[in-house]
Amino acid sequence: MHELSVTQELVQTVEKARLGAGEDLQVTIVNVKIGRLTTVVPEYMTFYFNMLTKEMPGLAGAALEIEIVPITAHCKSCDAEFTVDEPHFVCPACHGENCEITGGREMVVDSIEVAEVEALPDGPSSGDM
Amino acid sequence: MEIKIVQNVLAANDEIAAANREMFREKKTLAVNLMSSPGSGKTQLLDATLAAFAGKLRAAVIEGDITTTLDAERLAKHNAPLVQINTATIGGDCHLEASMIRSAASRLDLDTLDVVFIENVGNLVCPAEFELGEDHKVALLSVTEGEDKPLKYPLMFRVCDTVLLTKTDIVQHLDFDMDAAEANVRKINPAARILRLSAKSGAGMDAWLDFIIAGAEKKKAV
Repeated sequence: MHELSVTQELVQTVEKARLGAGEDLQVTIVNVKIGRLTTVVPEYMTFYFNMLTKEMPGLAGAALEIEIVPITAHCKSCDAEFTVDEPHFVCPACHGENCEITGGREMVVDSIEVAEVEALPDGPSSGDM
Repeated sequence: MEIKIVQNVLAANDEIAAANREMFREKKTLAVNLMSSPGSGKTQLLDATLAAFAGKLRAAVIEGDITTTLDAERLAKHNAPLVQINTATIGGDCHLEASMIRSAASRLDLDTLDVVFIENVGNLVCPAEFELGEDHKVALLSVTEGEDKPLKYPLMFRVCDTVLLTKTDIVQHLDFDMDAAEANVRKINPAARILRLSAKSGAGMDAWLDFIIAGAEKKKAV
């Protein structure tokens, strides 16, 4: 439900990173990791990302690549690491319940791909503006 | 060219939450975040809690709603300090964020308070995601809902340390199985403190009040 505000934060983070690398760079891909245990719907995030960036120089047209991170846990009783596929946080090895969640809550901007903006060959020259 | 960033999207909120936590620690004020579906009895619980604490424990309420001041009006009779947050004026958001708590707390004299209750926006999804800097996250599950709610909203029931089964005074009229509901909470969060209570009849309220009093005393002692 709060995908818009989360995506606004994401866009700000990306824009800051882009400007830090060079103002004349164009972002082509934004790689984010979203954990399965978060409440973010990836489709809504993509929708808002496209909406927010479509008129931003340097960001317009960038593709949002979302990697869904599975829910993983560590059993404090027997040290097993396991993936949680259904809503039951119990160790499959020893049935211990003292488990720590180690993955699945991510909401992370991992990296961006940038390219140099090249002068458009058929673009209007400044005299035409 | 790839540029590595690796930044948590909620980092800005988490930073303010950490500052709030420090503020509540310094002021020795217990902060309790109440979360649930709409209509699970958060305001009713606060109504009964403030009445029980009158003259004993100095409590304030930060009231979060998308719009209206109806809940605040319901609690006004207790003369407890009360700050209303309407998220509609700041985007109609579905949850409270740390920055809203920071600005609400600035309108309270924390030095004179033992406990601040934060009534979150009624919603089992989004409030679970946002740290506020609170000491306790409490989820209410009323017996008029389904026993399977903890399984359907795992993040909420995982992040909370306490679950209250509310409205137990009417459970005999319903098919709600309290043991099954507790078992479902345990599947998600085996360490959770689970209390059964009715704010209306008063049944089970003592354990809840004792939990808050003990928390407030512990906070003062640190």
